[in-house]
Amino acid sequence: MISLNSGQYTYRIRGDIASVEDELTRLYPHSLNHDFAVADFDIEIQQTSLLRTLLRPQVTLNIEGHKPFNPIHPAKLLPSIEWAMNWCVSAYDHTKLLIHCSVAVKNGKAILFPAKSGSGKSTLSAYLGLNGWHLYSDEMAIINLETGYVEPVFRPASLKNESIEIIKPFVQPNEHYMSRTTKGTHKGDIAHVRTMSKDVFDKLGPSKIAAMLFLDFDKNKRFNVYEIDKSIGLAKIITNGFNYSVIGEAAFSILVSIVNQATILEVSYAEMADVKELIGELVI
Amino acid sequence: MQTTDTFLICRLADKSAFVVFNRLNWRTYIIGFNQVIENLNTGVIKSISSEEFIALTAKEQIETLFKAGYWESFK
Repeated sequence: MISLNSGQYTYRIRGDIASVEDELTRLYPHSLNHDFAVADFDIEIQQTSLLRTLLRPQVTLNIEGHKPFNPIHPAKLLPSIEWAMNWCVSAYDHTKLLIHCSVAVKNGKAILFPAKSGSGKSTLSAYLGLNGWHLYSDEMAIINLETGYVEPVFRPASLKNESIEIIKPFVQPNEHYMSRTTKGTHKGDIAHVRTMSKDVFDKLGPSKIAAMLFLDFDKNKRFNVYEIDKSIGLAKIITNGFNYSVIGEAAFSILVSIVNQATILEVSYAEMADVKELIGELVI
Repeated sequence: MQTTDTFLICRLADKSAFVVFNRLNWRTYIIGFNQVIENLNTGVIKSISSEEFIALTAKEQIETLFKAGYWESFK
């Protein structure tokens, strides 16, 4: 059993973790604990059956008493643990507004990249995290309902397929860590990259949301930036809310406030450096 | 943000829309500013002309629409 502290949340991970413990230690330095500790969420790795243990091993993740994912081969455990940690937060934490997006921060100002499959969100967020920005999350913005500020979590970015090789050259061994690649998951090949040290993370604080960028990656398109109506931005961001409809009034109030003060852009891009330059101007 | 027992209503900062949260059914409505102007021009809202409406502050616009019963349709 280990306890994993992501800054915002603690997870107790039980079961046979031997195959992933070394990777978790590198992805979460100074954040694992083998002593019993009260955790926010419980994740248990379970064998599916004795027969399968011998013939074709499979494990399932029992998360807070639920099994939301299909059984997997033990070799695919690391990404599943990461997805399980995401699932815990999105399913249970309704004290914060959770928006499906990645969050990059510089100069105390946050840029949100709400998700759309194929938009290149994760690749871009890892790239930014490895190139001078602080990656607060590559999966969800955790927004304080009173301040509207976004809060950081100490979690790696998740990379798929060709993104892994694109990002690899930016990983500096002394500061960052890229996990081994897990081949053949239902999302393809997966690797995780830690974009900062624990010391750097510990100095981060809540940040004001300066802008929201709705991305459209197309390697054949020119770089285009459009400012869109706040009404369209609000509608889009609501559709990316994990728990907007659960929180209700407080979520509405804080999102309207955020949308009113943030710059909202639609961006078509082929080169990540173009986006980096653009958002650099938004956080001066 | 203007609040009643049933609604939270405000006009977005860029004046692109009024946004309404119904506290009873927890639904969010986004009503384009142009939609309201069209409703004024076509007589759906009769108490004020669109020219007069545009000249009002956000608070005054929301109150005018209250008096015209416009928000009742979002119950």
